[in-house]
Amino acid sequence: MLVDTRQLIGIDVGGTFSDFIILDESGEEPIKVFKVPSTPQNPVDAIIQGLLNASTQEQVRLHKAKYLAHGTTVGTNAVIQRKGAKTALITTKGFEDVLEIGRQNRQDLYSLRPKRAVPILQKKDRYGITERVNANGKIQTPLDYKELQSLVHELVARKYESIAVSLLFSFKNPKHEKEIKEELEKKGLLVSVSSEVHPVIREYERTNTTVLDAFVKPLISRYMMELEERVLSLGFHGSIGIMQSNGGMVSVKQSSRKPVSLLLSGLAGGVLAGAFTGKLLGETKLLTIDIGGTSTDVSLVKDDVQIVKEAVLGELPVMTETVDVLTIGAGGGSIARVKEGMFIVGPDSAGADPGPLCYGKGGTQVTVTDADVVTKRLSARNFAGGTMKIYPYLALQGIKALGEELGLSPEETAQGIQEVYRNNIVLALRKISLERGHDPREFTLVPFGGQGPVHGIELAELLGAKKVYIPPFPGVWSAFGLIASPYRQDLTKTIQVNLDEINNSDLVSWFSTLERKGMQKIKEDGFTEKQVTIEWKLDMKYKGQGYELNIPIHARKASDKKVPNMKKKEIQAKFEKTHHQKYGFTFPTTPVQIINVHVTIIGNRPAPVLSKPKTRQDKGIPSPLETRKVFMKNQWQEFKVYEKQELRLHDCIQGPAIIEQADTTVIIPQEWNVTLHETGHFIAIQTKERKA
Amino acid sequence: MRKTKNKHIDKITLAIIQKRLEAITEEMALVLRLTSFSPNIKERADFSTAIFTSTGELIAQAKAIPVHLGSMQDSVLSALQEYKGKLQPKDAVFHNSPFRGGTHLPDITSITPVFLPEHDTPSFYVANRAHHSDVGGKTPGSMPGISKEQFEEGIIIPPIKLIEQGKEQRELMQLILENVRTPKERYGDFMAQYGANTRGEKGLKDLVEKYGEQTILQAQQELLEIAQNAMEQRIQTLKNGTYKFTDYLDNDGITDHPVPITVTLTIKDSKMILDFTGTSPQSQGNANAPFSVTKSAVYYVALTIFEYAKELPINQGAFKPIMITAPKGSLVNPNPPAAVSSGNTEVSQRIVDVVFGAFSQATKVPAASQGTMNNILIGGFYTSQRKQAFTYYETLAGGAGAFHKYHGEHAIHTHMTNTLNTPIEVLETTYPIQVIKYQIRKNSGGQGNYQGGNGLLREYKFLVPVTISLQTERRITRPYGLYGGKPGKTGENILLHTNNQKEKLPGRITITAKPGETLIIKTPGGGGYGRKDNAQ
Repeated sequence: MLVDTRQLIGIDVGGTFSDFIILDESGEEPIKVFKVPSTPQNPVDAIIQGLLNASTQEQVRLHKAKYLAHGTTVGTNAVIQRKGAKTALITTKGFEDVLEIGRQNRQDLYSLRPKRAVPILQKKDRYGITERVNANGKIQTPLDYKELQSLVHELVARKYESIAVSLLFSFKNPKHEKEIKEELEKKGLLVSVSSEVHPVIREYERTNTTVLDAFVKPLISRYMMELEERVLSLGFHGSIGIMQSNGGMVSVKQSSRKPVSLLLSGLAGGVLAGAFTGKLLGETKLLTIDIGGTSTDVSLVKDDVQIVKEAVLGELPVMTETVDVLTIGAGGGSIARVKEGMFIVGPDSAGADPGPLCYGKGGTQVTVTDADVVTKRLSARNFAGGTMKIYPYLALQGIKALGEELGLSPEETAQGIQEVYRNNIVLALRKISLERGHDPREFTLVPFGGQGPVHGIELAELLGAKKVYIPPFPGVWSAFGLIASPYRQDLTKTIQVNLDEINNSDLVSWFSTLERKGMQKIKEDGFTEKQVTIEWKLDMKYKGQGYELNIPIHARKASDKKVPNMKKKEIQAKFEKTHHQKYGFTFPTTPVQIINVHVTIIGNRPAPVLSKPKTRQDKGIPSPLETRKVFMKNQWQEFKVYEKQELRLHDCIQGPAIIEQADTTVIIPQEWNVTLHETGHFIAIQTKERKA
Repeated sequence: MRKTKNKHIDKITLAIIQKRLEAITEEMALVLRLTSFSPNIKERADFSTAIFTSTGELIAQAKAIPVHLGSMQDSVLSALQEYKGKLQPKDAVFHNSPFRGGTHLPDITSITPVFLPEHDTPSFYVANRAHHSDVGGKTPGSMPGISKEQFEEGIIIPPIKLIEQGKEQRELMQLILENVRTPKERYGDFMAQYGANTRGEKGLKDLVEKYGEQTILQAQQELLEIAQNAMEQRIQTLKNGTYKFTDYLDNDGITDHPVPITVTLTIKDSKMILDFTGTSPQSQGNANAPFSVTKSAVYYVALTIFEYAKELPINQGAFKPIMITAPKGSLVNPNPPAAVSSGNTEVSQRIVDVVFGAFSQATKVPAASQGTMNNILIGGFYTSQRKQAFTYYETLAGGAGAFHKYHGEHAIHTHMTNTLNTPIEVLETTYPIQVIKYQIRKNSGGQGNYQGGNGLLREYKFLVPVTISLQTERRITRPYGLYGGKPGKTGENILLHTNNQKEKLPGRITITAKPGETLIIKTPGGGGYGRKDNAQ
């Protein structure tokens, strides 16, 4: 059957596979999901291959498709592997080594070979120039133009592809940076300047962020250009959105302007997908858990995704708005071993090759997946949807040997591996919630990724959470998140003033200026005022503290022109409430400071509609495919095994049970039941209160 | 809990509890860093957080500053001694006394007992130690270049309940705050330290509620045993024998003579014994390391040399096979009222060099790193009305010693410290000081088959009259090379006068400087490893 409506395409390019999800805007057509092997040499190849597959095998007419949403790790990988453009840095003379010295600390405290992260640029690519702006933003030493001329000459001669400029205190006075940029651009050079990329105090972090921007800019520009050209050549003429680190989309054209804000694009899709699950199901407090082969990404969603101002990539700081994600080394491939009496699971991983013992590809170490096979959570019959042959006896053999070291039976050992693995993930979940002042027990878990539903409900048990939502396509849910995400612009101005020293009108004028800039950008991406929402926020702290709290001040639709009534007293009260919630105390007599004014502009897109599961016609109850003994909670228990495709709307499955589907296996322990919701999600509820 | 073949709790539960204990110390660290006021704590992370057993044995510590390792235990023990049977829930004992387990006066330790429900004695203690930027004394920052008695170095706080059952003791607090230069900051830091302990207390109570008291107590016992066994096995890999090594501090700041530190290391099966006999008597100046500092320097070498810390839990058990003795009244075990402000920073670095030197005869070790922390303290008033005072303190990185298949890293903190730098823009925004240069110091690392790392060059220009205190080492003796590698360059301290005349400053000094004058600090390079021509 040929589809004649408008389709939305989500493409999430990962290290091993590129995931595709294609759905119809109306929600009337079945959703198509598939994976193609990634092509790291040129990731666009896999995208084109997938789109070709879609049009030949899945009856997708690309010229009718409306929207293509894409998350990329092109910049991410360039930074991790330190393989970006030939880049130079210009900095205030005398400070050329700031980029290498960093914060002067080492990574590992107890090492015979103390090391720091390898800087992006070596000495020969770092240039100083005579100029100086002081702490008040006054020009103390004017920019030496003669020196600049000869420097520009040298940079051209040495054939740099991209230049980063980061001068001291440029966030207070950007004049010199602007002048240098102008001169460089006259020669046709690509330039990133720190007063535009990250106009915020702390020279190392600002310089590093600017250098990263320059380092990936040529690469990202070329990639985006090629992507657009080749996708258009397939007949697609809808719009293309690119996921940024902040969890919002941006047009291809704008994405190359500040590519540093795309560096954690790959992490954001999953969180946005989890947040969308919450919106569909009317839940405001969620913990999203994306479990893959080697790592797990966890994130907290409260009303909306949470944004932080600093991320770490390739051991280097990246100061851009980034979805608050914590990544730990726990996944199906995590290795279990005993070291001198301590039992350890992860962070080392067997990866996909050789992979777990049960793959039979020459793996020599026990992994979490092997434990899942030995305890019969995963069946050889349905492994990877039945597309992959595995060897359970190899897993058993390895686990038996490990069990001998521990004095435990093979099944107890396997269960132990799972317990330590789940504990590692739960600690990450606790960290991301407790450290941000939230009680994780009040949150609903959203586990996805192929491994997510295998342990998701037990993670909730361990955490003391009562509810779990399992998305309809856990294996490609991140790709779905791309389609579901709004467009977004974040704008920041550093002001650093005491709250009691300013007027309400100052605040309104700072906010309004940022708002105008952001509105202009989002309009360029094709949004009208009706589709746009605006959020005003302040970064505040007590005078003398080193770290700020982000305080939401006001939100409205862009079409609503009424300027809000701001009261400093209320702002102060909001800050104190947040400080108390997060840290448990306040400093009543210490003055409160505003460090940054922040505006977020959101371009809302119509929410995608998920097709409804079929209704049960026979009024009967679902019948299991088989029963299988699974080792859980210290015993072999009978689990009924169901196939997802046989389940109908509102079917309720009582644990202990298993639901198998092409991209995952859902494990339902005793005292939980799972219902198929009209959005295609499984809703898992604890039926009996247990002491966590 | 599953049954196992012996009385031990199973390894699975043990692994989970160990991770949870570590996570609690990390949560404490986060609260402290995010809510504190001293730049040393919030920007440079000069603090540690830890959990102790009911008898005061270290069971978990957030990975922080090595010099707090092991030495924090002594502070906890003296607090327990002082308040035996007198502690109540939500108390916090604070203290900084160097002769009761402290390190130097700016390091203030805060200890809170953890009472489980229906217990009338504490089952655990949570504690943290943080470097406050000023605790009074004769110079801003409380680390005078030259001092002869501890009384010159700030207010001595013996173990006292500054917070009793959740309420601050107003009179005591006032007494302390009146004795420091930046009282508001101090007060905020005390509260942040208490906040961190409160978070730790809650974490432990939750853990006990989940696993039961008996399981947790059993687990902590086993974690101590595992650490002890692991350390013993590592010691056993070394050949039995006795190895002696001596290195020197430049001087004690009072006289010009080099000051020897000597250790005799004996490896005997699964034990190691370190005897500091032969070390100089305690110095007249402040280059004295309280015994707890000496111990933590030795523990640091033990954890590093065996690459112990990678996967194994760090707790008191790991230190049990290590016997340390030092003559009373010596530089590494001084008697009161010795001044000690550079013991923790400078003497500790040399003890590390000496202990590594002794080990170099039993196994391969890296060449010496810069061997100093280059303590810079600058204080004064923001304006000529002399109303508001400021104190700036920072340690500067230097070259790392080379090792097999490792060129020393440039301008990096090594051994007993790992504090972050103060960003130049934060420094200039906060203090009337301007930084003129901040660079890697070329060609300062020792030559060798593997090169020693280069030191750092930093120049500070003053905008107001200031008092400068320097506590720096390796200005005369050089960081040693090993196995044919050359030593690193010595550091240099220079005052550049407004007439462009350069005045060379000694390693330890307190001076005043005028507006427009510039302090130039060049930090030492690391030693080289292996003969240069001996290409492998």
